[in-house]
Amino acid sequence: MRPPALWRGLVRLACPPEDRPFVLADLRHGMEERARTEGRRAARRWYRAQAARSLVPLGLRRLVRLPDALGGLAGAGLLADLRQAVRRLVATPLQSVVTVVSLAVGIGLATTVFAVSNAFLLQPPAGVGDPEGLVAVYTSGEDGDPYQPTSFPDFLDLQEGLEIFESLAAVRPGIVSWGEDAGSERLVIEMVTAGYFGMLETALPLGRGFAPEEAVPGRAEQVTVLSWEVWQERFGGDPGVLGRAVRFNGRSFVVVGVAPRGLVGRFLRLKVAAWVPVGLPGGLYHATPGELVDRADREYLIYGRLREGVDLDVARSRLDVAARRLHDAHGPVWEDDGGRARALTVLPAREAQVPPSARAAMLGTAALLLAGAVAILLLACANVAGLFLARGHRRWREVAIRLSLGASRSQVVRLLLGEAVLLAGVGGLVGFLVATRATALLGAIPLPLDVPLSFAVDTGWPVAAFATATSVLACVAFGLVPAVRSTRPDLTGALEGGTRLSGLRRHGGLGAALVAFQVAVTVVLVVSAGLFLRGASASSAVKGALDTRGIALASRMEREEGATQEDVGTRVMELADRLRARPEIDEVALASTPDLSSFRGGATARLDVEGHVPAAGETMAVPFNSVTPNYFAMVGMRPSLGRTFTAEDGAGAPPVAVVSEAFVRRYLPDGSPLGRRLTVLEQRTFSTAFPSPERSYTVVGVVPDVRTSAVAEVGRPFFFTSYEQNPTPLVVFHARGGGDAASLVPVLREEIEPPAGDVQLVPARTYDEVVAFLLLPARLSSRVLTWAGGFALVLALMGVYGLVSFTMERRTREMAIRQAVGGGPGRVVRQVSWSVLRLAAVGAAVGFGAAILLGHLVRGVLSGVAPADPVALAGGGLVLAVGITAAVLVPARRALRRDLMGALGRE
Amino acid sequence: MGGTFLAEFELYVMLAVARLGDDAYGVAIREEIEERTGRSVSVGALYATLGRLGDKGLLRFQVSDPRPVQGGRSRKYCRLTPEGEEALGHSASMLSRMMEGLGYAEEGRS
Repeated sequence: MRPPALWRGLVRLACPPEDRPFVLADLRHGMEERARTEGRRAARRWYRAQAARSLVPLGLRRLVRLPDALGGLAGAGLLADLRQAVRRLVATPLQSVVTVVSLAVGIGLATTVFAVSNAFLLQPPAGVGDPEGLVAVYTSGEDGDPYQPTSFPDFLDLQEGLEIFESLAAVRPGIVSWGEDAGSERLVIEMVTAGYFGMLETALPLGRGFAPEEAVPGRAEQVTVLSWEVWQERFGGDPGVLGRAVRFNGRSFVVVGVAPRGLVGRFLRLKVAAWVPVGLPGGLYHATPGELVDRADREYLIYGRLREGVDLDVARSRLDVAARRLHDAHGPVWEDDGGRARALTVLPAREAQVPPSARAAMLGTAALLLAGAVAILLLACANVAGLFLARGHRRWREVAIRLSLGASRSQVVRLLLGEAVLLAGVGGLVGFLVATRATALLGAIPLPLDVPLSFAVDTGWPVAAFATATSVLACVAFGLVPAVRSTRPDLTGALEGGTRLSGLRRHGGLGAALVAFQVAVTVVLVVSAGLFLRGASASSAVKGALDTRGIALASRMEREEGATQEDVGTRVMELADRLRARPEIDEVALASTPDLSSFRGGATARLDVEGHVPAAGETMAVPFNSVTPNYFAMVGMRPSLGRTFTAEDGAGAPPVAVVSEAFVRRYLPDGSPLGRRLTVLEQRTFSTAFPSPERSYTVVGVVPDVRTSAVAEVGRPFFFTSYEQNPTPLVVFHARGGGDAASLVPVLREEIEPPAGDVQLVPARTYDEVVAFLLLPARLSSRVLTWAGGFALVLALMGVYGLVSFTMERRTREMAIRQAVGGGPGRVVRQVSWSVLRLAAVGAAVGFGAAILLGHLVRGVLSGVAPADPVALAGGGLVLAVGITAAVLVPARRALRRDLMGALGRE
Repeated sequence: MGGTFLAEFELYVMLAVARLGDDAYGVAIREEIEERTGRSVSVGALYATLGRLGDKGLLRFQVSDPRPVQGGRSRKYCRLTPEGEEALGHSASMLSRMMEGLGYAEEGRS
């Protein structure tokens, strides 16, 4: 068997070379020994544990010996060097602060990106015993996406029929209110099956998990396991909490256990406040009795542990067989909207912490962000390197004297490197602190949901290691090269007086490369920032189609047992009338979901469109919204063809529908769409409280495309039905009055009470607040990139400015001689300015090419903007051109005005 | 070198090397310590300690030729230097003097 590659690699890295073959061989020997006696899983576990424990001693040993390899850098002199470095850095405080800040920003940014992607994408699930053995099982969804939840009956069949799993559990996140009052504080919970904690191999520090008989829905006495945090914060860590009752959604739950610290939710590492057995009534998502018996109701995430000796390939083939069997037994329920048989997919739990369909995109984005952060760090390093080159030049004579007095070159390198080490160390430390703070903030982004969603992103040792490694690399990047170069001067030349051109060209070459590089990186960042800014405004443009101003929203879910669709319609209309009677409110419109919110997806209909023959596998599930006639006018949606609904389209009238332009393009491309018929075969809303009959609608109008939910989702087919003709159990009241939207929120809160013991999907709030959530990702990324671009620009300009001043200073002697013979320094200044501008132009050309390439890579993230957006490119180019010209001209002019003869005299 | 003071784990390693004689190499030393103390020893800590003891001049190493079996690897054999013998004796006598009359040494002796 093979050792785990990652751990083997880490040990290789940490181990001093002379011991490397022996350490690796011993580890392998130990693993094979264990594989024979205790099995492969135990052997791998042993290897990981051994490797983890070996890293620190080996790494320390290697560090102690590293300086020997560098030529005797260690020793008593090191402390003195550091002291001297501190003294020099304190002598130039501004320069030191700028350097530390730019390094800290670069390292902090890179570390933050690493911490977040490490937590969500790379690390195994936290708080779980042997996380590598844990797997997730998915059922394919209506549109063929393989990674969708599973129905409870299917879970039970899998649990009984599959011997490949040691244990299997179903999990479902939910939101409950805490305490008596349904309007009170909300908490995230997980509903789990019995054996969930056992399956995780996590030991509860207090009490126990759920017994099988407790995980039966409808039991009189409900039980719960509290999270460590809730136990600490609300019960002060009192062991007497066992047996006490807490109230969720107004119902009593007896505490039977406390979960270990650090155990987070299975979905998105959400911080979960408590666990309850499955079948909790009245969660945020409808927990209907049907959810546990209806095979078509797929709500559960399935996690399991594979039996010893069963690997993923075996699991895959067994699950294929199981899926075929389920399809044979249950027919249409086990087919998706395209008529394909559904599939079961298994993934390591490590890859299931974010929705697997989005994982590849997230990895890509993370890599992109990391590249951006590293680019900024490199910019900062390039600047510091430039600074060091310049400083090395000024200290040339000092270095030459030291060398000729017999100091070894390594001693002098060490002296120069001391400052670099110090700067990188302080920069890295500040950067790590910045990253710690930033991840804490990121973990608790306030979402407009009234729910305390927070994600467990911890900055543990991998993150600290990352920050350290980045700092060391940065230090080498900006410190070592200039230090080595500075100690290779033309000794006699330096001592005889001043500097000679031959030696300078070489240094100039490195500085020039730095400038071209900086400009290229800056162009990429500035243009990307421009692209995202344009993307964000494009998002707002789409929102502009909907006028959300002055509107306040609140939702209500009708879920009375046995109520018919008509009953629901009548009750909702009564409520709307009560709202209209309030003096603060002028107008009330109803919709089954708010457009532009993130809740879309709950209401979809399986359609048959007259005249459209679905292609093989084509999904005919189309999202819809059921609205009152005045809804269109309220949100400013005007028909581009035909009409919207009127008062005549009431319950008794012929059913009518309004479709979106994308709907027409996709399903009704030929002839006028008006008068065509579409048949709803089946409709799904947030609640399946009552069956919806098959019904045909006549298209009476077309409206422009509306953005329904996800950021990049524009132009997806969409249609409206009349609320009076097609009432839905979930309804969102849209209210508008004379005053601003915020003043209506308390009125809505008063009138629209959530049903007792339930949680409101959209609590009373303004429409703008709801929409802000949708635009959050685009706004956030454009803001981050704008800052990054701006920062990069400042760094690059600093670099150019530094190089020009440095070069002018270096050529003082030449300019003075030219002036003495009557030539004037203008020629030299022009020459230097032009050569720097030429370099900048080369860098810019490379940068633009890279930016366009990058634009193509991130096409999916940007909406409504071409990858080579001319505005973004031209804007970025202009900003840069102006900046760089200024950065060249200012020091050039200063050089022209200098007293050359005086300067020469001082040399 | 008489004053060289051995840390606890260093002492274990030195004792294991002394006990194993000609047969003292990585895996054997680790197993010897694990068997006698009942505590798990990490490969990395062992090699780091061996290296440190080597630096102090208490151990010297000899790398063998690959063993004549399939997949056979070479081994790094350790041996106490005279300074090592002296340091071990010194530590052992200090330890026994510290424990004299306390009765701990009797415990666990079978």
